[in-house]
Amino acid sequence: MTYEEVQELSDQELVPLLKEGVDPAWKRIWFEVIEPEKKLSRNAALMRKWHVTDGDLFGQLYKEMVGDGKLANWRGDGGSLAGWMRAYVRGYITRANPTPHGEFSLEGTAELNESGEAMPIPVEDKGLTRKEVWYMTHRCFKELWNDDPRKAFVLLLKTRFFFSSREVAEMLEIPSEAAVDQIFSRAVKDMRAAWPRVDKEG
Amino acid sequence: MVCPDKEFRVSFRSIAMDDPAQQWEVHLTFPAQATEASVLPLFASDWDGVPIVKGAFECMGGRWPIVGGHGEMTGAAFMKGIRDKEKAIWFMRPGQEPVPGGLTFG
Repeated sequence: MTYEEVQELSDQELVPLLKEGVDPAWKRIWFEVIEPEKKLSRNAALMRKWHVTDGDLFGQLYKEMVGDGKLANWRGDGGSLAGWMRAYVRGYITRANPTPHGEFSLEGTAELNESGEAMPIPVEDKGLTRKEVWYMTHRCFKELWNDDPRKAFVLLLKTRFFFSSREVAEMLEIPSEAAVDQIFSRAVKDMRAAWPRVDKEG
Repeated sequence: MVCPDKEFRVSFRSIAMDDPAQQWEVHLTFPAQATEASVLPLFASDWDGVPIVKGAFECMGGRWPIVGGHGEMTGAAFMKGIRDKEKAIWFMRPGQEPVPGGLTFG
């Protein structure tokens, strides 16, 4: 069943598909339940404060509705299925508060650093604005991976996450920083060598 | 394996498919100071970011179940895959052909 077909179903018709874990049915729940709740300003603020992601909310909802069988509790004799599920999601956000009784504040804990932020994850290739260059880079990166996944990870960690050679060595069990630098330099060379060949192949 | 004192996330992505419903993206998170004993969370979605409710992600020589978008592997499994040069990356949805993919830059 496609997502377009699922959108036409009544709530009663949707429930069995949700119980079976049918992807398009849960996609509808994503857009009708998770997306609206996460966009409410109060919820968005709490989610940021308590480091709750939309994926976390979805995972909890799926676990309770399917894993714990709570879908069977929906009777459809008052409101919509989406409205009923949205109440659950609001509860997840509220209960994510690690200090429900106000014993201490997150800001006061020693574990948080100055910024309290996790390392920002790059989600787009800044500077790689041309789609063709992006595509080519990934083709060449794929070749690097097929040669040796460790080489690909060294290149990724150095260029996208700005790991030092020492950090790369400790993570990937490479004997020395010099060895990391050698692998990195070889990876860059291999990528450059692959480029004209991949470009020619189209 | 000893990871730095900062969480980071790498992404795997499927090849482009004629049917977008077959496409997938998996994020593998390394918590701060992760070691081989650590659990590394997985999050699987389609290219629109909608979680994949049921499936399995094959990577680093293992197959990791995905339920409600979430799964996990251990640091030990990740490092075994690195040492054994495991290259296969696939995502399996129930009743569908496995779809290959690869590590991406973001």
